[in-house]
Amino acid sequence: MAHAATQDHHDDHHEAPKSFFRRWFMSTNHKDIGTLYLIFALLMFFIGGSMAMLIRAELFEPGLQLVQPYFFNELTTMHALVMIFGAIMPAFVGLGNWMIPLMVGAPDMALPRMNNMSFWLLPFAFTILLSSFFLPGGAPAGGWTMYPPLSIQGGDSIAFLIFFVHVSGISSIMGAINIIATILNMRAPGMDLLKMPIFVWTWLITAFLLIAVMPVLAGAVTMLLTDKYFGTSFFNAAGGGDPVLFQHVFWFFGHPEVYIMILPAFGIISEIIPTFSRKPLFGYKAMVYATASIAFLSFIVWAHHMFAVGLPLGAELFFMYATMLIAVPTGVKVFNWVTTMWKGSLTFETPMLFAVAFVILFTIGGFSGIMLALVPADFQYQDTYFVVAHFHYVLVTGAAFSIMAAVYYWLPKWSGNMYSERWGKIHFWLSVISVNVLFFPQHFLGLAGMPRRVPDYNVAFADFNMISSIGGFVFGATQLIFVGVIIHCVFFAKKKATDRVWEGSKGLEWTVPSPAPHHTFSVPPVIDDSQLAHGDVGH
Amino acid sequence: MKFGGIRGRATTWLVAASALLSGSAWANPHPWQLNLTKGVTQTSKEVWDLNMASFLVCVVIGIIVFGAMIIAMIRFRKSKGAVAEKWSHSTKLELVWTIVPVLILIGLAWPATKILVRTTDTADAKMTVKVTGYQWKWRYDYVDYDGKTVKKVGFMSRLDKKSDATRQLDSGLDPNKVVDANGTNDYLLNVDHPLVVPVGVKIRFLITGGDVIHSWWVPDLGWKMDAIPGIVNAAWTKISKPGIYRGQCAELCGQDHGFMPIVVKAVPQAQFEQWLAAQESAAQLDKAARTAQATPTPGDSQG
Amino acid sequence: MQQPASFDPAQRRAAVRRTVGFLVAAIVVILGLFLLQFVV
Repeated sequence: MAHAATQDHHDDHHEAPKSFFRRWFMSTNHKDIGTLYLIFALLMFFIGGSMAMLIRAELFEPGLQLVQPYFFNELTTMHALVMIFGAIMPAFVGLGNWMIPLMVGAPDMALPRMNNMSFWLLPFAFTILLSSFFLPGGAPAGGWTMYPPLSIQGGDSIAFLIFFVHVSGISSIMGAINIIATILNMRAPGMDLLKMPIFVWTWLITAFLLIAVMPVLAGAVTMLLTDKYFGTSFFNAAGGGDPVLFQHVFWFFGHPEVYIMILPAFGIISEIIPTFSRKPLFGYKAMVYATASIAFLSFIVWAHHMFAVGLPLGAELFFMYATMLIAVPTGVKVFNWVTTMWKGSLTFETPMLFAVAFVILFTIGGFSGIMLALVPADFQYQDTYFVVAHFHYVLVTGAAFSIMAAVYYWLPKWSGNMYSERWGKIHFWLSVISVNVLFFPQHFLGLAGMPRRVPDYNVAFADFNMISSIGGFVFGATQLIFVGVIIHCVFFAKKKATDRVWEGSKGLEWTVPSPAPHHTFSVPPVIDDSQLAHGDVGH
Repeated sequence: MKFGGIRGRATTWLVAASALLSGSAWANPHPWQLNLTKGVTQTSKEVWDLNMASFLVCVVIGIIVFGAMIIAMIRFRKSKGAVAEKWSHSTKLELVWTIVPVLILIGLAWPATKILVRTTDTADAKMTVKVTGYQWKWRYDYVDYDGKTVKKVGFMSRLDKKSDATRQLDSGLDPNKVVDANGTNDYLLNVDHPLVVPVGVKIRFLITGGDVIHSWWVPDLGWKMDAIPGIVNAAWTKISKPGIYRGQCAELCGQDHGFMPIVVKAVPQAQFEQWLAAQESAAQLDKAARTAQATPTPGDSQG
Repeated sequence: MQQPASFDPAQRRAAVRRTVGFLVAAIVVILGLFLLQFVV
């Protein structure tokens, strides 16, 4: 009974501080900071989501009905920034904060005070970003990719955007340092690297990606800043610079960033599928190696975002081959999940439903990814709704679905209460249907020739846009159910969660009581290999 | 009135259905279009084939993977008394699903490489057109044709007036009513001065940007190419069939990014030569006429 | 390497410090490369 030992610890610090301010604003506790991250991410999910609703409302039918084209561009730009840096990334950091110490048997993160700072930078960063809507020239409207010369053509909002990138970049880097230091130095005795849960592995690799590329983004936007305000000409052709240079530097950050948003999702799914299949994860080591190879490859594929900028033939071929290669380790992961389910003993609680939907829909996003990798075909697909469909399949039904799966999976452990399975399933089914109504027709729109980031379109595109918008409204409204389920579970649910919560759950996090006490593993737990999240110990 | 376009849409539908039945190829996007256009160049046809090949590969893999998942979800349910097995490893299986995808990918990379190598070669073009992207219009300058330099033939090409009036916020005009002489809807896909080119001739495009980055894309030609200030990109096409081919700017370029379409009018070679000669002499004869005319006119250097 | 250094708080602190030092050095190198762009 591992948690008997963890519960009674010595007497210097124990329960959560009584004062609200001290507990939530001055927290150094990984669980409270994790909660803060998750609440922040949920808030941003709704802010970014409401921009998406406005975008879909404008695209409901041809002609402009609601917004001016420039404001439409502000919306698409801010929607992307808020969702990427405000919703997906903080949600994963929150999950990492909550679960990594619990999964490796550490009492807290390695650097608890820095942990507090990494979180509290975010509200300030996003206040700066969102306040740019009220600037005279409006919010940034040059796309989240900030391509010059367009991005520095507008008003001073770009300065706000760059400052936002710096602050949230510092936050991400500090979070990543904390996670690496925790995983490498704070594991309980007996928790070897190759015994760690896959979620911890994927976060370790993600953290290295963050450290490698966030400074690159910071450098790129600083060059943009000096180009606009201090007379440099890094990206200004008239001054001897090169606009394409920015794209190279940006996507050197941008492509690893894509995997920063999906590797932790792979980790979550690799926890959930074995639990509800009651069978060990198939090919644990292959999963770790596949994650590492995806991370490595992410550094040598950046120019596949730029096939149409006029790269030389050799570069086009190199980046095409390297990009196609990513399909191999990604395929290994998908096959391993399916094989984990094979001859298991499956039940379909809400986390499992989201995990299964993740595997199928993320794979569809991967398929369109392979099509996009083929350069001659990409000359047709590039910058169309086909691309929009592709990355929303991997980011919404991929990353966002995995976060929802994780919330349902660990919420009983966090809150001590069981959520309403019935409403969880309603949330799932409405989400999974509406999200496909929303994004699947966008493949057709792109193939038929509709460019992305346009506020209006020819009537030939009207039907699928209307269908897509209807799906979008339903998907948006459905997420209110998600909030309802969470609030109900945390504050009102009568049904208490057991310590183990799920019949098939394995790993250290399930050995502590539900709800997880404020401090856990003050005394290192004794590790029992057969109780770890994977059963591949013999190999 | 927003939904009052039903009659307009019905007309489009009728036109769509009749064209579908008569088997004539679509040169422009049509309602409920699901796939890429086959286009009117060898490149666009090869791209279409590649698109279909990769799509079919994805469908087959999808059927296998999702099929296995669905079978697992039906057969191995706990409620049906399934008992979980303990195994979690199989080197043989893992080797298979590492190597087989590599082979499939090589199978896709091979034709892609072949197409790419062929389409990158802009040599031996009979004609050169310089394309410049501006916020928010295109400029076309005819550089040379058949070995001879073309003198002062160039013009701006921007969104037609009817689309422009209709697309204003709360214009009260119905996009379904923006139709050409044949009743085809060309809302946001029509320009005042189309680019006129000959069929059956290898045309080289020199593409650049005047202010910010744009992207010149006509789906029927099978490619797009970014128009970047300070950089001149080269691309080429050889159109097989006369017709009007429409496209749009594909790179976000500011507020009217969605309102700078591209129209390419491909005509038989003789007709093109006539047109070009007329443009050249017009440029020499009458400078004053250039702003007044509705047809493509040369040397509009003010933009 | 498979095992964290020790459970002794002082040794653990030292190990954390080494890890952080290494990571910060890596970040400084990357940022330094950008700084070079401004100098030359």
